[in-house]
Amino acid sequence: MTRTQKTMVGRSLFWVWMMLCLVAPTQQVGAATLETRIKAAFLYKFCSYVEWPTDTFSAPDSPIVIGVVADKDIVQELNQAIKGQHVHNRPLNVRAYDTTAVPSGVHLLFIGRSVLSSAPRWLDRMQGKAVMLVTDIPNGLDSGSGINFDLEGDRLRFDVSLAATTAQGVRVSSQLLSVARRVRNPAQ
Amino acid sequence: MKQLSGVRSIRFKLSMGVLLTTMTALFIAGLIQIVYDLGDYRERTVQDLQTQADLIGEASIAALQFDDPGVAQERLALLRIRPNILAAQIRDSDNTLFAEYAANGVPTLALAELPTAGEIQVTGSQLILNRQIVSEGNSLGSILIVAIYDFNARLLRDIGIVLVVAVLALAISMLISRWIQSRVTRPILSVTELAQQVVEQQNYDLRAVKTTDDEIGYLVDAFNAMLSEIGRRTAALESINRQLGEEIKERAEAEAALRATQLRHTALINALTEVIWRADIQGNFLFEEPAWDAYTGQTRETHIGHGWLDAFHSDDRAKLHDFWHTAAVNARSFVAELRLWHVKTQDYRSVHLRAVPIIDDNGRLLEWKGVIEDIHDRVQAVQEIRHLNMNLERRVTERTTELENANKELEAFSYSVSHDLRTPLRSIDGFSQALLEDYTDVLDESGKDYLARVRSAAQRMGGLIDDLLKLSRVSRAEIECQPLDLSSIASGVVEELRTNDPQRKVDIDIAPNLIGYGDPKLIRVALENLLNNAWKYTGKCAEPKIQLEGHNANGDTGLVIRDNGAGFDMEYAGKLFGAFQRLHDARDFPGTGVGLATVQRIIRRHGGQIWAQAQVNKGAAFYITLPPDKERSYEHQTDITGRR
Repeated sequence: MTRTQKTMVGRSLFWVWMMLCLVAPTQQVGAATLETRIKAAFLYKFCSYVEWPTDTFSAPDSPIVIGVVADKDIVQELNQAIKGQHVHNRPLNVRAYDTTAVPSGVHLLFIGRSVLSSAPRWLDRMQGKAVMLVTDIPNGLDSGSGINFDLEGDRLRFDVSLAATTAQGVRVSSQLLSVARRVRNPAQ
Repeated sequence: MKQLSGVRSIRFKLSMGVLLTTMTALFIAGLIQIVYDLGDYRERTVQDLQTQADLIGEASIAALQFDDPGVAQERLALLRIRPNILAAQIRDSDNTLFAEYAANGVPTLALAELPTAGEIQVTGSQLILNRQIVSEGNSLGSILIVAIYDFNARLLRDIGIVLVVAVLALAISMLISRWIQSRVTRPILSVTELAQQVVEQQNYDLRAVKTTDDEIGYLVDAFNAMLSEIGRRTAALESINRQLGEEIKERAEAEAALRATQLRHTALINALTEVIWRADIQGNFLFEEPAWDAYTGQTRETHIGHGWLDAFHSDDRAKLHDFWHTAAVNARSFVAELRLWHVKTQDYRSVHLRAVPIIDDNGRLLEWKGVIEDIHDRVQAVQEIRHLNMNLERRVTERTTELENANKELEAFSYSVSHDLRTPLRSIDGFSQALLEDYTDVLDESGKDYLARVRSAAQRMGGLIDDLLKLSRVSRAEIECQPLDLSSIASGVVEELRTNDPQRKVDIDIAPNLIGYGDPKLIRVALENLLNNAWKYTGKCAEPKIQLEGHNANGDTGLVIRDNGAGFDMEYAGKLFGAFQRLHDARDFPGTGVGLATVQRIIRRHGGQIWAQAQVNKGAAFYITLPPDKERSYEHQTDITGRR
């Protein structure tokens, strides 16, 4: 094994141990909490790599609004994560929506797992809006989202659909693309 | 003169100066360069690395954020492009290694030695840099870069460059300085050489050549001016020297003369009969007084203090004491005539003492100085003269009395003689006349002739007696001078002559307004005699002419009586005025021979003069002069006997 690999193994072990250190009974919950936290962190980090049209902001310091549909845990974590944070000098706001809502005025929207399983075409209502859509279901990109989480082993990975982001009218930085697991080009 | 190329020469000094300054400048410049360069090197290296770290870090933000080490590694691997970067690491926010890179053949880094975030660590020839990776104010992790930082090599390189540059610069600057130096020093050296010549040859006519128009040129001018001045002064000094030499010679001569004079003086003083002495303010002799001792025979012991007083005549001592006392009180010089014992002649001699006080600037009396002059001989002489004078006066008085007596006797005699002589004469003449008158018819021619002769002889004798009487009277008479009109007196005399002899026709010319000063009676007698003579001696003249006029007598009254009569031989002029002296036969010209003697006596008594000039048969001229006033008359000038 290369040193990097060794390190990575060490890191993984560390994570496992971390997870084990967390309250056993709530192992599931702990792991889930960690995953949620990471997802929440990713979500708000995505904001750094996304470019929205200027008209989506009323003022140079108007906040970036992250909307979360039907996922209270994410909302909770997000609220924690964004405390005191700025992206491109803009503060961050978190809004929670239920499934019935048609979110507007959001910049990034996370659709909870449960939503798409019951309404696969839920994302259609977001057509034409300059919103970064993020899903968290297997093959989530097919449903029209720009980014989709996928837990690979104990690593949280994500895929990017440039077709979707283009359709939504948002631009994604190549930096983000470079760390994405898979990037679906528009041609694909 | 030191060698010009030696260590102390100007060239050397200048070269040294340039060398030192250049080296100092180069050293300082080099040092600063090196320091700056090294600093700059470090700075740039650090900057460069930081930039790279930041760049890679930036590029790895996403990898860190999304936990993608592979991508981070890819990013780090880009560093291979820079061969000076040996290794790099990205660590996450927990300082766990996230990704790393190492250049070929370079071992990866151990954990312990690494610097913390923000630090720069320099070890050996490596520089390790740790930069934070920050996004949106959050520190995501750090990136470490290890780069080659060969400080020493760089330092050596810099030093090497500096040295090379320095050497090069020095070389060039030395060349340039030599050139400049020569431009500066050449004129200096030429002046120096000239100065050397001047000193060696003592020749101040040399001049330096001015080649530049700077301070050296000024120096050359000044030098030349100095040389001129020196030359001038030397010349002046030499001439002064010559003058001095002459003056010294003159001085030496003068001094020699002075010494000679002094010697003469000393000899003179020593030869003087004067004695020079000194005394203090109280009149004490204090010192050796060789002159005094030589004169008086005293010694130091006997003359000291007031002992010298004893040498004076006892009668004079009191006088001397008084004098001295007064003089001491008044501090004034005094003189006294005293008698002093002269040892050589063993007698007192008259001396003239003169004492002079010596006063200082404040008026205080310091001492007395004196001179004693032997005046004995003089005093004696004076006394003799006085004696003789007294004698003389006595004798004169005696003689005068004698003479007066003689005169009186003579007067009496002459009176009686005349009287007594006259009487018989009168008888002879009277009786002869009576015979002639009463017995004319009895007497024959020769008898008458005899009687006539007797008569004439008697008359002649009578005339002679009269004349003699007159003469004696003239001698005795008191003379009372007054201003006289000589012309009128002469006219009166002429009148008488004409009256007494009316047949004679004589041309008489009397100048008018002839004034003289004299006794009227005597002057009349003189004129009578002279005019009578003129009348007489022109008796045989065809056209007799008599002139009486004034003549220039240098302030005196001058008269001249000229006639054109018989005149006389000038050879016998000396006898002219002698009594009874006749230059002519009585048969030719009657006369007693007393007249001119009388005139002379009269004129002389007046203090005048008489002389005559004549030629035989051509006439005579008698000149008389009379003093113009009383002051010069006889009585005041001549002695009793009538001689001047």
